[in-house]
Amino acid sequence: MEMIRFSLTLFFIISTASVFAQDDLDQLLDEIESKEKKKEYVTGAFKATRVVNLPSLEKKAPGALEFRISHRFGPLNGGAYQIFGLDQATMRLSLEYGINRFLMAGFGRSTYEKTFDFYAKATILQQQTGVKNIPFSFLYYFNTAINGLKWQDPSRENYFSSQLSYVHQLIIGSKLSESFSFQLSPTLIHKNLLPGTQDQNGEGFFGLNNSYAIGAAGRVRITKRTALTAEYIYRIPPNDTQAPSYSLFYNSLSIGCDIETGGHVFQFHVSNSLPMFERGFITETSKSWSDGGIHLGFNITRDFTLKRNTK
Amino acid sequence: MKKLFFHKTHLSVLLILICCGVSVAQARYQLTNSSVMFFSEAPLENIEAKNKDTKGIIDISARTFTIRMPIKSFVFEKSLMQEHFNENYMESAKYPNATFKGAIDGKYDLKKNGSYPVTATGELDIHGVKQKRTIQAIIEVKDKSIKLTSKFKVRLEDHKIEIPTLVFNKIAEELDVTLESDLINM
Repeated sequence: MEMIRFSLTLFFIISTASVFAQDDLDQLLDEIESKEKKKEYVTGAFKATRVVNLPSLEKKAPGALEFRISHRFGPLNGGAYQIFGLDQATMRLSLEYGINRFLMAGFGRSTYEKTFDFYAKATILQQQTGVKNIPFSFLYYFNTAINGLKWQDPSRENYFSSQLSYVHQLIIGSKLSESFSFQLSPTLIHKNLLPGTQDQNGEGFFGLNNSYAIGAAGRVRITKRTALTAEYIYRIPPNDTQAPSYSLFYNSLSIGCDIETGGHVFQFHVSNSLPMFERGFITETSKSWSDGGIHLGFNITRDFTLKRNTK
Repeated sequence: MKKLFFHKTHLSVLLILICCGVSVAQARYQLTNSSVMFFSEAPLENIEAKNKDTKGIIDISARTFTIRMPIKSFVFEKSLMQEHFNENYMESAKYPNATFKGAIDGKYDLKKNGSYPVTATGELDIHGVKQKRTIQAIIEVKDKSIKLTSKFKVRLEDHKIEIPTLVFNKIAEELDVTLESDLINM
């Protein structure tokens, strides 16, 4: 009995000693690591700062400048005469820059209504793990667009402010897994002046200065460098659904494919929206998917690093 | 009588275990103030990244070690490069750490000043692909501080890290890795 007990003890000691050797070091390392947890931001929910048109959860990194060329062809239902839209082109050029970890800003120029737009995107809450576990990101986006068309009626008194419109948008979303990201974008659009909506007496303007919409967008990663994207923007119907600024237009739906190659992202898509800035594609999408008013389009981005990380 | 014996054995086991534990604890050194750098020569621009979160433990008496490098902690000059490194090349969400564990070979005396070349043989796990490697390192003892340095190469192909032909800034097939760390008695 004594012998058995002794040999058992010995065996126990020897076996623990040998287990100590490797696994124990790893265990110890685990303990050390769990004591000094680090904040880890979840990044790369989308490949680019826009899903197709809609601002995404992504911002430019601090010191990074992006040049974006956005292009939409004419509608597919233009038929063979327009070679299904390829004869026509609508463009937007934009530059955007990451000011710091929380803020980016940029401006763009569209051929659509000769519009300049200035915009900024700020992170309020960043999805992260580690010290704190925050499963989603929360951002604010602002865009102001200046219509550059000549006054319809130069003889009357025209104000600069009449050309302006503003967009406020919240972006709430999450990189739910490595392959799937989703976001919602509640939006308020304010137009200082609505063109061409005179009342029966031919006086004044009426209509919807404020419109509300909610966008939804998602990304499914197919390979490391390619992803499928989709976005839909639902315009919340106003009290007067017959108001021309609502009833003449459609909700925007875009489906695309992102391809990333080093410093470039190529986004190819089909969309019923022609304008590429928020006021335009949210409230002024004049074509509908159901009657073939679909535009082929692409965005190309090129990144330039203006400021390098200092170690 | 039987009961008493039971107590005795346990006491002795406990004593032996404690002794064993103490001696092991004294012989363990932790990597602190570590820095791991990698460098890749490329035609357009050289690629460089630094990691200051590498952790590790060396057991001097058992001659074993384990080193762990969080991939997300590599800092690049260009943030876009860092994003691509994590998202596309290393897939750091799937494989968060690079690890190297195994046994140390070579003569060294941590109580005496000197520079001791050693070899570390073990499994290097990068990007979820394990490779058996023997890596040269130097343990330098100067007064009471102990330093560990090592330089080695990592072939991207060995760890199934794919660089697509589409990438404009071509990256060398082999990375030069430099590790520097203080060793502190735990």
